[in-house]
Amino acid sequence: MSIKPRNPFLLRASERIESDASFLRLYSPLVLELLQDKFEKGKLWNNILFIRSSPGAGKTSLLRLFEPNTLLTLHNRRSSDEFKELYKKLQKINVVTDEGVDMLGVTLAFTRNYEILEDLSGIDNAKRSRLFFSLLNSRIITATLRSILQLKRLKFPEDLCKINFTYNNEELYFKKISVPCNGYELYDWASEIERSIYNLLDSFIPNTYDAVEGHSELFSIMVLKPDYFFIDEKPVCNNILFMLDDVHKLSSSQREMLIKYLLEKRSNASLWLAERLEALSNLGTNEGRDYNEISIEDYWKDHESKFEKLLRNISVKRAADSREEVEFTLEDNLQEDDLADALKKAKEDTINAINKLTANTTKYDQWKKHIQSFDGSDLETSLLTKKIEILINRDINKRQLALDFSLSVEEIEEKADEKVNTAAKLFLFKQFNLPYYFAFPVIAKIATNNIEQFLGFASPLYERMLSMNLNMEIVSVSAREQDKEIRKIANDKWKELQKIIPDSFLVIKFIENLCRFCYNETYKPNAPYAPGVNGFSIDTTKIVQLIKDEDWLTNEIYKDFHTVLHTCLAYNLLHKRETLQGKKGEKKTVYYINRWLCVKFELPLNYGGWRSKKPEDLLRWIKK
Amino acid sequence: MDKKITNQIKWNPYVLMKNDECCNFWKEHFADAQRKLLYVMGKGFDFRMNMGVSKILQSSPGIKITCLLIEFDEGKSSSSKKYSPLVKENFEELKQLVGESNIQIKSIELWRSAGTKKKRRVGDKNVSDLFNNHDELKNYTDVIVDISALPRGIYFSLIGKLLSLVEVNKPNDATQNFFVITAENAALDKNIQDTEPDDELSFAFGFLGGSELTSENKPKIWLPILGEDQLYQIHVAHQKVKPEEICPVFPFPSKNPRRSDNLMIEYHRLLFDELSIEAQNIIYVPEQNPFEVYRTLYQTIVNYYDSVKVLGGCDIVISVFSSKLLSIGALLVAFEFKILDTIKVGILNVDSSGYNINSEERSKRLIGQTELFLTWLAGEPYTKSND
Repeated sequence: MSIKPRNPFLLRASERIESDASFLRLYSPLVLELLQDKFEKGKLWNNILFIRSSPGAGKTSLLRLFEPNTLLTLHNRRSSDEFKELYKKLQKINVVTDEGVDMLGVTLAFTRNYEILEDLSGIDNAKRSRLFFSLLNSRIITATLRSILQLKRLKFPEDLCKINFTYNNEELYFKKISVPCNGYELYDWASEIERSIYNLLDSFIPNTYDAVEGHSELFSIMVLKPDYFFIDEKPVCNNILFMLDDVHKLSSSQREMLIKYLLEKRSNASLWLAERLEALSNLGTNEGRDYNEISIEDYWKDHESKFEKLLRNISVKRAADSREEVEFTLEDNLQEDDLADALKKAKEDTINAINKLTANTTKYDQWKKHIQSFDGSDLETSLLTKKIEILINRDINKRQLALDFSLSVEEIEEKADEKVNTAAKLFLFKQFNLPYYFAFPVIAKIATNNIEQFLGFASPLYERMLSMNLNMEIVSVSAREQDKEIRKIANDKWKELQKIIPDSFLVIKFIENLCRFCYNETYKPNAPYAPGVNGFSIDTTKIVQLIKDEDWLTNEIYKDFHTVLHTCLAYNLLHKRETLQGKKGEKKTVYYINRWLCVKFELPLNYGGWRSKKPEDLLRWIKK
Repeated sequence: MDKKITNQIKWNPYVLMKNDECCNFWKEHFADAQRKLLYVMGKGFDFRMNMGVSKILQSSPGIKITCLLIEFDEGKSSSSKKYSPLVKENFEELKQLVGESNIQIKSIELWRSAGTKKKRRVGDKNVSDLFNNHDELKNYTDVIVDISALPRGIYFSLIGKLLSLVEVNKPNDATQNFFVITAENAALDKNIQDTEPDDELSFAFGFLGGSELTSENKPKIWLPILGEDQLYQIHVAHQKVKPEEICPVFPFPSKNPRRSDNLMIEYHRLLFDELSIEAQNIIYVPEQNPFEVYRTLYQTIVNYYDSVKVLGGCDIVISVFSSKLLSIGALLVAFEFKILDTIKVGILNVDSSGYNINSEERSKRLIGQTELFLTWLAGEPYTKSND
C-alpha cells in the first residue's frame, strides 16, 4: 500500500522508508559532496574507507544509496526532474553510466550477534577467531550472491544457479566445497556455515564446535572479484563495493582483528566500513597510506552553509512528500509589532540600567547621549543600549588602569565587535523573554551537523504547520511559536535523556555542571568570552602529580571521567573540534556542547567560546 | 501447512492458578512428603520478591525446599544501586522464611563492558549457564521459577533452559513439575520505571529466532506486546527488527477496561504516523492469562506463515513491553516453535540497566493489590493428558 505520509518529517532513519523510490525522493544529492572530494583525490575506490559519525548523521542512508535496487530504481528514472541531480552526481563518481549500473554494492550490517561468539565457553581464542572469520565469510558470500541477483533483476533463490563462480581455488581457501561452481552451490555451502554457527550460538544444550567449518582467513573479500562472476558468460559488473555497516557492534577484539586483517592484506577491493564514533581507537597505521576516512559530522562542521542548504533541501523534499501538501515554512523575522510592549519595556529598562550603572560618573555621558539621539526602533535601541552596557561593564572592570576621561561615540564601535553584538542580543533576549531560537538558520545550527537531530526538531514544527493548515491559517510559524516549540523539544529531550543514557547519573551531573559553568561564564555582565561559552578543552599540562601527562585518561582515578566523556561523544552530547591556538600550528581539541543542550541551558549557538579546564576540575563536575 | 505445524498446541489444556487457588493447590500438592522443591528466584529490591515463597511456606510449612537465589549486578552506575537497603531487607526476610542453610546464592553478571565500548548484555547467557544438565535437577520433584524480582533480560533464557532440561533433555523416566510464579501488580509496576534502556539490542539467548540469519533473509513479522511508558523502547526495538509487517498486541480484556484505548492514544503517532500500521493488524490478548496470549500468538504466527509460505515463509519477532505475566505467553510460543524447529520465533526485549521507584512509601502501600499467578508448564498434568 503506498499512501503518502501525513508528516514525512517523522520518518527518521532511511531504513524505515520502505520503497526505494520514496527513499530516493527524500534523499538529498548534496550529501554526495562528502564523497566527491575523495573521488577527485583518487581515494574513493579500491581502498579502505572508514565512514564515521554519531547516530543519525546519515551513514546507513549513504550506504543504502549504493545498493543494487536503489541504483537500478535511480537509473530507471534518471531523466525525471526529481532524480536528475542525484543521478548526475553518481555518474560523476563512476557508479552509474547511461548504459547501466556499474557498481555492485554489497551491504553487510553487523549486529550484536557476533559478540555472542565471545561468550561461548570452552573454546580457545584461536577457535573463536576461526568461527568469527567463517561467519563473516559466509555472510559476505551470501550477501554478494543476493546482490548479483538484484543487480541482474533475477529471482532468489531459483536463479542462483545461473551465476558462474569461476575462481579456481589457487590459494586453497575452499576446503569443503569444490570450486569453480555455480551460485546455488556456493550459496548453499555458505548458508550452511551460517546456520551451523547460529545453532551453536542459540542452543540451550551445549553443542560441539568441531562440526562447524572454521576459517583462518577472511578470504571472501579476496575471492569475490568481478573477474570471477559471470552470468550467461558475461561479467556481472565492473566493480564491487563491500559496505560493512555498524562495525562498532563487533566486540573490541573482533573489530581490531577485522581491521588489522584488512589493513595487512591491502587487497585492492573497495571496502567501506561504517561505524559510530564510539568505536574510535588508534588503528596503529596512518590515514592516507593504509586507509581513508570520512567523518560525516566533521565534513559538515567545515561546511556549515552547505549543511544548511542540505537541510533546506531535505525540508523541501519531505514537505513535498506529505499528503497534506503543506510547505515547510518558518518565519525568519521577529514580528516586532506583536512584541511591541515587551520591546518598549526592554528599551526603558536597559536605558534605566545604564543610568543606574553610571550614576556617579560623567565618563559615559556621550554614550548615553548617543542612545538618546539614536534614531532606531525599540529593538534596535535596546540592542545598542545592551551593547553599551556590556562595554561600560568591561570599562568599569579595568577602571583602575585608565584615566576618567569621557569616552567618545566612535569608541563604541572601536570597542565593540560582532561578538559583542551577538552577546548583547543574547543578553537582551534572555532578560526580556524575547524569542531567540527561531528561523531556519538557527534550527540548522541546533541540528549540530546531524540530520536525524534536525528531523527531531522539524517534525513537531511541521505538525504545527499541518494544524495551522487545517485551521485555514497561513502556515508560517511565528518566531514566538518557534522559540516556544524549540525550547519544549529541548526540554523533552533532556527529560528523555535521563531515562535512556547509560551511566546517566554521572553523565547528567557532568552535563549540568558543565552547562552551569558555561552559563555563569557567558552571562557575566562584561561578557568576557562574548558571545559566550559552550565548550571546554582539557588542560593536561598540570595534571595531579604521579601521573604522566599522556597517561592521565587511562588512569584509574579518571575512569569515571573517561566513561562520561565516551558516553557524551557516543550519544552526541558533546562533539569535538580541532582549533588552532597558541604556538603556530598548535592544535587543541575543544569539546563543544551539542546545540540542543545549548537551547536547554540558554547558551549561545556560536562556536569559538570555550574555556580550558584541568582534568581534576572535570572530574569534580562528575562527583559534586 | 507444514507437517509439524498443526493446530495441536502444546499447552492445551493448561493449568493456571491465581491467589487462593495457588495456596490451596500447594497445600494439597506438597502434602506428599516425597516432594522436594527447587525454588529459583531473584535477589532484588522489588517488594514482591518474597511473596511467592512465603505463600508456599504458609500453605505447606513442612516442605523440603532449596532456594536458589540469583544475585545479579546491574553495573556500577546503575540507578538501582540506591535501593540496596531494600535488597538487604528482602534478603533478611527470605532468610527468616526459608532458613539460611536452605539458600544457595548464585551470582551472575548482567552486563559486560570491554575497554571504551558500551556495555553489552551477558546476563541471559550467564543465567542459562547456571544449569548445565538434567542431573542438577534430578533430586527435585518440583522446580519453581519465581520471576517477580527477576529482570526480563534474564528470565526468558532461564525458563527456556529449565524447560529444555525438564522437557526435552531429560532421561526417559524423569518427570518433574515445572512452574513459573509471578506476582502481578500493575499499579506498582507503573511506579517502578525502567531507566537506561539498552539501545544496542540483541535477541534473548536461546530465542535468537531467524531474523538475523542473513542467508535466509525472510520477511519479518513483529509482534510487540504493548504496555505503558515504553515509547523509546519500542522505537529502538523497531529499529533493530526492521519488520515488513507489524501486529501490535494490546491487552484486552483487562482490569481497566480502557487500558487498550489508553495505549492506543499513547502510541497513536508512533503506530499510525510513523510506522503506518494497518488497523486490521491489531491483536487483543487477555491481560491476565498467559496461556491465552500463547494460544492467540501461536495462531497468528501459523496464519501468517501459511499466507507467506509461497514467498519462502517468514520470521517472527516478539517483543514484550508489558507485564511479566503476558511475557510468559510470549515465551511459551517462542519455546514451542523452537522445539518444533519449524517457524523461527525470536524474542527481542529492551532491557534496562536500572530502575527508579517513584515513591517508595506509595509503592509499599500498593503491595496489597498484588495478585499471585502460578503457571504450570511441565509435569504431571501434561503427562497424564498425553497418556
